[in-house]
This record gives sequence, structure tokens and C-alpha cells, in this order.
Amino acid sequence: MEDTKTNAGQGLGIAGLIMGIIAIPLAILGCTSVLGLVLGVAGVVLSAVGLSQATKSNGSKGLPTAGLVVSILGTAIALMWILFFARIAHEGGRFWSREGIRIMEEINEDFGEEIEEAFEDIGKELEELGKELEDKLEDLEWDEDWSDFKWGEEITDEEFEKVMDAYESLIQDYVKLVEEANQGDINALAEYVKVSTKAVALATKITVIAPRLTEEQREKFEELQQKYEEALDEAQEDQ
Amino acid sequence: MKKPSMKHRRINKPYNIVNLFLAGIIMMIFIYSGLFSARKDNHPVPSFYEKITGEPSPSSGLSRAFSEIVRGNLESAKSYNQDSLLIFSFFLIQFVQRILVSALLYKQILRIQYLLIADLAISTILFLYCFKGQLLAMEKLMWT
Repeated sequence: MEDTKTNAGQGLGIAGLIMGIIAIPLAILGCTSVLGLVLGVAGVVLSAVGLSQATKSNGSKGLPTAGLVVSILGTAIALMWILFFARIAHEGGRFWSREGIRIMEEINEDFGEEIEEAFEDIGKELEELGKELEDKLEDLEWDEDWSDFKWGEEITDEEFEKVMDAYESLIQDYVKLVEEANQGDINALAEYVKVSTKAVALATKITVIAPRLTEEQREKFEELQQKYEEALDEAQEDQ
Repeated sequence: MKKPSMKHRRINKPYNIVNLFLAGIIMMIFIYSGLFSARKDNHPVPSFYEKITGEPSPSSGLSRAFSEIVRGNLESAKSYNQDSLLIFSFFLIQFVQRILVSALLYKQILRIQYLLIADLAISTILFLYCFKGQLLAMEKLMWT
């Protein structure tokens, strides 16, 4: 007698196959893996019922079997992701610390030589910058010649003018430094040391001469001080 | 009892039903991408991965990227997710393929076995190619 196949389980098999096919990409995309799991499980159930019906009523088992295989695959991928989430949620910071170390190791493996070379270059540049700084500091010693300056009981107009010239030069250097720093010029670092050293030296001299200034000199000094403070404020406002 | 016509029988073939269902679902993905906007950030399906771990996943930004692609903003889409163009092209090609396979089934130009094997092979290769970034990311994270 001819074995006639029935349609038993075919509808459920098709539904299971569709759910399984959709579950796979959803499961692979981490964000939607929970949806993938839901569809995968639904696909497994529908396909299994379809397969059972097909077996009992002599239906074709191809579709329910394909649905079952695809749904199990989707469910398995989604489960892997979800177990992975659970692991991260459970381990928290420890996982990402290990992950950070692993990434650093990978970076070191892939770009170690380049990083080393880059650090060597930076080292050389810093060395050159240091030398430049030393040169500038050496120049500084010759910038201001105070050798003929004589400290006495009274400040002569000549001595006072010398201090005021130095003061003016310091302010001009400072304004220039602020402008260089605004432009992101790395030389500003070397200039900063130079200007700071000059400022300390000048502040010491002013502290010494201040009590010995005549009334006229003191007024002139205050006038200049006011003028330079305004210039400094202006330069700093531009920052 | 009335015997079903040849045309009716062909349309009811399981392969055709699966095809049309998948084409419909892909169409729904495109409609979903068109309805919700990346700029308004109003996509209703949340990222379960981010919700649980608090970290972005390899598929983060895919919905927003799809919304940008259907609006023609390809560069912006890439900024949301690097693999978005490949993944979107998978769905687009699959959509065309489902319609094409249905047409071939209807016209009976190829034998169904050959059509099925070719369809499976193309879909699998395309899937592996378009989802390679996601698969590699998954493999990497799983064995960490």
C-alpha cells in the first residue's frame, strides 16, 4: 500500500522555522539577544510540537526539523550572550579591569614598537627643549647687567631708572609670554622660567630699595606700577 | 470536493510562505527605521546589553544607524555603528532575494531543490560576510 504523507505539523513547522530564522540575527546582535532568546524558544516549542504531530500523523518531518535546528541555534547564541551579560553583571569592575589589561596587552603586542619609538621621539624632543631652556637661562644671566649697580643709602635717579627699566622689561616679557601661551607655543615654557627668575630677582631689588626711595621716586614707581598692572590685566583678559 | 488549482497549490508551498513572511518582517524593519528617528532618539526597543552591563555593545547604535540609512544619511549612520551599512545591506539584499525567490518559485523556472540550495548558500555567505564584525566581537568577548 502507498504511504500517503499528510500536512500534519507543517503549519507549526513553518512558524518555528520563521521564528528561528529571525532569532539568529537578533541573537547575534548583543543588544537584542533577549528578543532572540524569546523567539528562539518559541521556535523550538512550535517546531517540536509540529514534529510530534508530523510523526504521529505521518506528516512530512522536513519543515519542523529545519525549524527545530534553526531555533535551537538561535536560542543557543542568545543564551551565550545572556550568560556573558550575567558574567559581567556578576563580576562587575573585575571583568573590565581584566579586559582593560587584556586590551593593553593587545595594544602592546600590536603597536608596542611604534609606542616605544614615539616615546623615544618625545624623550629626544624633551631633551632638546631642556637644552634650549638651559641656553635661555644662560642668556638671562647676560640680559641684565647689574655689575655697576651700587647699593647706597640713597637711590640716585640713575639707579632708580635702571630698576624701572628692568621692571618695564619684565612686564613686556610677561605680556609676550601670555601671548605665546595663548597661541599654544611650547617655547612659552622656557620663557616662563626666564620671566619668573627675572621677577624674583627684581622683586628682591625693589624690596631693598623701596624704603630708600624719595617721595618723587615713590610716586613715579606707583604710577608705573599702576600702568603695568593695567597692561597685565589686559593681556590676561585676552586669554 | 473542489480540487485546488495549480496556482493555489504553488502559492501555498511552505518555502513560499517562509519567503513572504521573511520579506514582510524585513519590510517591518525598514518601516520601524523610518518611523523612529536617530536625532529624536525615540526607538522603543532598548539595548538589553547596555541595561545589564552598563557598557556599549558591538551592536550599539544599530537602530539609530538604520534610521539614518533610510533617510540617506550614510556618514551619520556609520558614526552610530561602524558595521551598520553592511548589516543594512544584508537585510536589503535579503528583501530583494525573498521576492526574487518567490517569483522564481511562482514561475517554476528552476527546480525547487536547486533554488533552495542556491538560496541557502547565498544567504549563509552573505550573513557571514555582513555580520562578520558582530561575530568576531562576540567570539572575542566570549573567550575573554
